[in-house]
Amino acid sequence: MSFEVVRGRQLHAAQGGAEKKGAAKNNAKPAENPGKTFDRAKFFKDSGSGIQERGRILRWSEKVGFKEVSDKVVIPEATERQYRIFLRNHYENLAQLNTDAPEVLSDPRHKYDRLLFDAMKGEGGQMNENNLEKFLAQPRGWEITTLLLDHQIALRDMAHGVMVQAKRDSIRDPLHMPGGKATVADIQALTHLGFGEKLDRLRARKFEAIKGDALESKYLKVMTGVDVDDFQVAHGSADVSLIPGRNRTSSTSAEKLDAEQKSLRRTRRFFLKDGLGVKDRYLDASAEEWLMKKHRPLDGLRMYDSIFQRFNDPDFNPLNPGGGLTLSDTANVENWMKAREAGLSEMMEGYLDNLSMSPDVKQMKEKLDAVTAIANGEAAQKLAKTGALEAKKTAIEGDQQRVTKEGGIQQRFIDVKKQADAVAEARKKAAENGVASGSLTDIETELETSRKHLEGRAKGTGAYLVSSLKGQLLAVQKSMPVDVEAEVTATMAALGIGLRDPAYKSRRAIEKSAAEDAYKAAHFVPLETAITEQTARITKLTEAQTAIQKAQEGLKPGGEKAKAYDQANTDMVDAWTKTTAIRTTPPLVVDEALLRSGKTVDEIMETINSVYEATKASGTPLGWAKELNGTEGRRHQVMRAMAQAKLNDTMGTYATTHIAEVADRIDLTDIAGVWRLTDGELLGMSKAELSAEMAKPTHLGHALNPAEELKITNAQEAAKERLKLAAEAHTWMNEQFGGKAADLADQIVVLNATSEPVRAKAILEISARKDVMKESAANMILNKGEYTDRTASDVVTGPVGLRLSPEERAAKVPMGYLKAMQDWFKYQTGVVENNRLVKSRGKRFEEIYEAMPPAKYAELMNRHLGFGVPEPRPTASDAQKARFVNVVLARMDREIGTNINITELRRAPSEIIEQLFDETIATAA
Amino acid sequence: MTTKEIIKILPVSEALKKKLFDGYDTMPEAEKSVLVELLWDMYDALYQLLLEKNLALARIDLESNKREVNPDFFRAVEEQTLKDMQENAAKGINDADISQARGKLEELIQGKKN
Repeated sequence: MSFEVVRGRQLHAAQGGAEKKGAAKNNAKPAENPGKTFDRAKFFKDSGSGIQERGRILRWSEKVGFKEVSDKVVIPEATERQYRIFLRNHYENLAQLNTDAPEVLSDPRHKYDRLLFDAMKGEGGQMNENNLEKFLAQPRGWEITTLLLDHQIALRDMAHGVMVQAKRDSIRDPLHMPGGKATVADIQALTHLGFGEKLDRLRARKFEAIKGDALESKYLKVMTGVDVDDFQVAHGSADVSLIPGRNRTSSTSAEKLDAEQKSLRRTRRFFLKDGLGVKDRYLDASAEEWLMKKHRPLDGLRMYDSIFQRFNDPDFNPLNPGGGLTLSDTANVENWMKAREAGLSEMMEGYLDNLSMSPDVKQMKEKLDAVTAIANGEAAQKLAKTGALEAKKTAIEGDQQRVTKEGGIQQRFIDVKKQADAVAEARKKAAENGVASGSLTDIETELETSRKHLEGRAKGTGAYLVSSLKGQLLAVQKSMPVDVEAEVTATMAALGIGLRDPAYKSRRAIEKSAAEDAYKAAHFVPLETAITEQTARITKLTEAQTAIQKAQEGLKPGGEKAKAYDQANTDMVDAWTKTTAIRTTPPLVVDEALLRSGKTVDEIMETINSVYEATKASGTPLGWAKELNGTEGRRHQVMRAMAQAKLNDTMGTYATTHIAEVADRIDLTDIAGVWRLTDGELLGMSKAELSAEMAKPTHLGHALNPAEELKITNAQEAAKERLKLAAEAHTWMNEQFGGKAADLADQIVVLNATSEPVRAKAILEISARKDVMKESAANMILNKGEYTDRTASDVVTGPVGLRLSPEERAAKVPMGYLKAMQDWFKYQTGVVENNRLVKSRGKRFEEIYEAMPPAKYAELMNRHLGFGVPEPRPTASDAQKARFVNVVLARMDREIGTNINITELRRAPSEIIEQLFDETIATAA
Repeated sequence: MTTKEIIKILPVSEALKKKLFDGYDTMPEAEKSVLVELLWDMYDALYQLLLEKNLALARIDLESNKREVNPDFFRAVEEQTLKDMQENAAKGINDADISQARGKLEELIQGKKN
């Protein structure tokens, strides 16, 4: 638990522990861990042509779509647990390898094993858990682990295949093990589905190559327990058999290998699916699995049972070996696939026969009904919706004001931070002038010393001391004429130029001038320089002194600002304590996670209100009723609690790397402790001043001993960081509110721009043409150029241009968009009723354009073909939207038929219609 | 390939195929929407099975040195699968059409007899 919670405990102790019980309960609850979060860009790079994999392991992902496009990748805790288990086991094997055959780890082919081993190694060769932690703190660690995981899966898969093929005693295919139940993983293992894994497997399957490689044989033995000396491979063929006489082999069991590889496969799947958000259909899922998940007509096991029963039925498959399924025989492959097709057929037969009763049809009907109702709805519906959104937006903007306005809840933190920064700057200036401590007392002492040195008098005394700089200057000024005269006389005598010499006068003048210059240089200049320096130093120290005094105003012990700042902190912790004490029992939980979720005040209050409703019957309701949400006190409480929750998080992170600083601050500011300082005091006073302060009776007269003085420096550092993070927590909250308000503004713009009934009618039209849209997928590949044509409709010439209506020309839209709209709406023939044209092509286009503008079409293709092109906001300019449309069309041009195949193109309309249905229903809700 | 044509090649009983084919155009919208979804998913699943079968057969060829792993390995198998799929579909549609025509003919003959 983070430091700030401890601080909360301290306050409760000081407040008589009135709320201690609630706080303790909260403290006892483990904080929800959303999992490690990384930038998606660490795993995938945007090369300008789309999201591509960063490392070898994700090469296949060029055509991968994500469940949702996000800048972040969150690895679930459960996935991390699986990876840790794998890494620990793998390290043990590597340690064994390092002992038995260290040369293997030096082999470049095992550079990632070496890298992992070195990164994890602790004292005595044991794995160091801290190193494991550091390893998984980096995206590269996950990438390398996945790479190793893939290799281990391939090795075990290869070894398992070899052992089954060798028909070793007691080794049976998992499908034929007594009591064995077939699973999806069995299907995958047996049929070797998937391109990415398949390539790895084909390479790894070269058992013969491994057998002929001493290093690789040792690696295989340690990693999988398979001894290559137990088996022989007929040269040039894939026939593997046990070496005669080695029936009792030293190799591990096939069952163990199989179980291991399935477990590793699941781990890999968790990471790719739940961690990176790779869609199901790219996870090498089998055809049966896809259909089963999508339509659920039968449970998986029943379907697989039916497949295996057929395959094992001698009438259906006379070639069935009766023990062990290998796909090394052509006829066997044919029969296996026939069995699967028959399984599919059986599954579909039952489902299709009762189609009208299926849950899917029921669900679709509900959606269609809802969208139809909207299509027939009144404009009032839209107005009501807009009004509700406006009200929400106003409430959020009010909360933003509560945070940022003069005297708002953020004010104290910003004020004090400015002051603390000013104190730090003034102290820095003092330090530049030799007062490292920056303490006002030390500055005053230094000023006194400097003044004495300069002027030779202390404050209030009149006489110069000869030893002072100015005194010395006066003295040399006074003695100069005499000294110069003596020097010149001596020089003239030495030159032998007497009074009667005609040159005497002029020569003497020259010598005098030279002697004066030399005297000044020798005596005046150093003193004048020293005086200038000393004067400047006094000026700077005086400035620093004034600046510190000014900046410290109110931050000294008992100072008004220090008290206000400490009160703001107390208010924040109190608000957090009160709020998180409301309820921690699922499903309604008011906790750190909720407060940090980025929800608005009203959204958080919805949960609090629900708790109230759920508990009011008990007579001791928790939370509060909805009617009280508007009171300033409640809103302030929730906002302060949000800021504190954020601060707990960031301060907790700081505490992991600044343990001493945080501990010392707690010690010095604990109001039930010895020192009882405040954050305000720590921020406003120097170390020397704090030492002096702590010796005062107000702080129990307990002065720090010299060894403890480091505590002050540490505590000041932590207080400074805390202040910075507290200010940032408020800024974060304000940004969250700002983001929500902007989203609402976008929704309002969209609502105002599009009539809901018009959009809903268009969606019903698209839905009714789903079959045609799917059929046109092949056309999209064959005539891709037409669908990705970025030529604007107003400049198109030739027969195509001539056919365009004035409305289509005026819209200046890409021709590719018009082609798609024709597929979706068949608008170009206009509307014909009773053999009479009742709506022209142009008027029909205008309807389509309103319901499905180019930017919306591009957004749908972008999402459902998984391009990940950043989408413009609804409030973006027309030029920005047009650029987005062109980028998406260009991506379609590049990727359709290469990275995006016909199956994906066919699935896109279904997903698009589903999205449009859900959006329409949600907007009208 | 059209959605209705998929019904003709579905690996289900003739009776069910007929029921779906005949009812397709007048089917309630929700039912039709789900059916369209299912038909294409099924079509893709059949393609996937065929692809896996061809990959398994190609692997056998690899292991018996009848073919080699090269960068075009998967593309070649995919192309072969697309071709097989088109042929199977064409044959299935043709068979269904012949069967339908035969049925209609029988109905006519029966009618004349009666």
